[in-house]
Amino acid sequence: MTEEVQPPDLDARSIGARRLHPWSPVIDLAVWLTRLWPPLLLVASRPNGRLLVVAVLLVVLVVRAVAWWRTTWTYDGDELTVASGVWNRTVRRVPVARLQQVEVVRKLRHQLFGVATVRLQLAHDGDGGDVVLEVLSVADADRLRNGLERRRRAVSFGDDAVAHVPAPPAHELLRLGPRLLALGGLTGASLLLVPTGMVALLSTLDDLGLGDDAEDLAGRLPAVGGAVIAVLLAVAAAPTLMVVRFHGFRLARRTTDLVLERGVFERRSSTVPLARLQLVRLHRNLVRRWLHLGSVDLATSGRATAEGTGSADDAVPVARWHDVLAVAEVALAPRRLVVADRRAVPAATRRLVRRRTLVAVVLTGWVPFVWAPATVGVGAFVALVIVVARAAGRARRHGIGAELVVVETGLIVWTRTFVPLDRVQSWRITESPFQRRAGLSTVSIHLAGTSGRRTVRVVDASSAQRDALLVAIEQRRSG
Amino acid sequence: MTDRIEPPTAGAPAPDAAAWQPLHPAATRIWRIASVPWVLLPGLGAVVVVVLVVGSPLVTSLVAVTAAIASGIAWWYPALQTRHWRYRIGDEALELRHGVWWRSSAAVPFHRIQQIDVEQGPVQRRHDVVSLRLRTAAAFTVGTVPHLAAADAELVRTRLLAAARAAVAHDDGH
Repeated sequence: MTEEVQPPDLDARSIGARRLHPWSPVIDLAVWLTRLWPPLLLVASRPNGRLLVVAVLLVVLVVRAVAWWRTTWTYDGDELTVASGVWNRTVRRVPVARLQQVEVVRKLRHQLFGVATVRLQLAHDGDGGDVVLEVLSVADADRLRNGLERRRRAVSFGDDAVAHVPAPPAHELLRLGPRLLALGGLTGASLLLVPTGMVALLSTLDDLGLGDDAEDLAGRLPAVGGAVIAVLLAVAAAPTLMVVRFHGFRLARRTTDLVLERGVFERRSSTVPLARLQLVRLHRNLVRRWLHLGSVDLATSGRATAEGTGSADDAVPVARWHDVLAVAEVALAPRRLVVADRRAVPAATRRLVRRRTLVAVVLTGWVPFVWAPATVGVGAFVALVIVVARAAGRARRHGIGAELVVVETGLIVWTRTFVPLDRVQSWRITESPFQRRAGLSTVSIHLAGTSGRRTVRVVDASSAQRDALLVAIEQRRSG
Repeated sequence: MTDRIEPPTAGAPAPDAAAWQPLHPAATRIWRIASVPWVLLPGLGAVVVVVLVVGSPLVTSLVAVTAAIASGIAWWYPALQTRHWRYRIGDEALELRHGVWWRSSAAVPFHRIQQIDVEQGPVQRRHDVVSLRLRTAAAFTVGTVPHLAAADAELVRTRLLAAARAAVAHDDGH
């Protein structure tokens, strides 16, 4: 956790008007082809179809080439300006002060052509959204990113001179090896594949009617083997995907930013300004808890994108628990981490147990009337639901500090969320009639961003807990 | 309603700025116009379908009674909704309280206000009322005050903008 890494020293106080990389039309055409190849193949199989397909491809290439010719970008040290459009010209100006996150992405196609995409996340979700320079040379992408980061640092320090100083070396916080990533893949959401795969396997064995006689078993051995291999492949898919997606994962801190790098086929390098961080969320399921592993989400107010890059969510996919805590500490510094020392009141646990029991009874209570032998199984299931609900109720905790609120929820998948009080945008208290009767309420804390994950809830808080939370929020504001 | 909120004055807030304010009385009627047809028309449709298809007087009366009760609730509920809606301009935030069955209270701090929209639909225009929508950087902030008298809304908006400016200046000063 102490290695010093020197970033490339590229002078980019300003960059004059430039076009995207000349490979841009070809890459656009390749993307277009990956989406529309089935109808094109269909057309090509008809008489004179190939000629038509070639003509269409040429037209697309020319259109993209004209679009490339008419797209320019400029960085003047304060604003990035992107002008585009063939007939209708659009000029977007992005002040550096409004940037939430800067990402340089190199998908496989970019790596093949030696180019990169620069994605600038903004804090709004209105027209346009993020600014994406799809195809830049790697040098231009690095120059632009470094220039933007220098300027943003100057803005945060309130000192123009900082913009003329090369970025200081990054302090490495975490590096993930393939073994840990594979373990993370195996212990993550893919755990769900194991029971699903087992059910599929048992169902296959049942369909094959094994157990009737030994000859039958020998005859159907290939089918059984195939089913077992399919299950194993399904279980192995998640660790493989995890290793491919996060290969070379590195998290570093450079002055006021966190820098994340990862990926094989899609190399991604994200810069997350700490000043833009809205919340830090730690996760671990029962298996990861047993193995002392966990994961971290770092959420800024940028949009969550379809590509899953939004705001560095899933920032650290898996790490040793002490590393997870260290990342949270660095991300939230100089605030001191708070302990979740306020348990849910007994009335809250009772309400949770009642609600979950009701759902279990409604879902399964009719089964014994239809099939009497299931009575014991249904009874055991409802009893299990009650036990798990009681444990989940006891696992609900929160803590209040001078600068942070921490909320813990979940039993099978446990989550700890740190909310900096100075980031709270608004709050809301809701009470259902049943909550009112039990003297409980739900406090929702809203943070900047468009995703529902930017709302943190303390469910079934007692009136004293609710008041303490609101006092902490308002005191932080007054202080 | 129009005498409850004083125009903004330099330096001192209006004496009743921190008092809980109700919505315009027309809110009930506007909510009824928005909800009753959606219950009544499908209810009438269901009665007609039952008469034509089933023809049983018992089933028809059951459906008709259900439709009548649902329409009655749709008529009665907006009055309760209006009665439970309150807002006030506090020292540091706009505070909202509403909800009949599920009660909700929310606060939008002045220094977080990004934008204030005034919206008016055709029915609202008929009653000279508007809705004020406050936006913060959080998409899930609930900061809408529905059905205010248009004159009041302008005063509230001016006061909120002044408060937001003062709060931001206060923050910058620190």
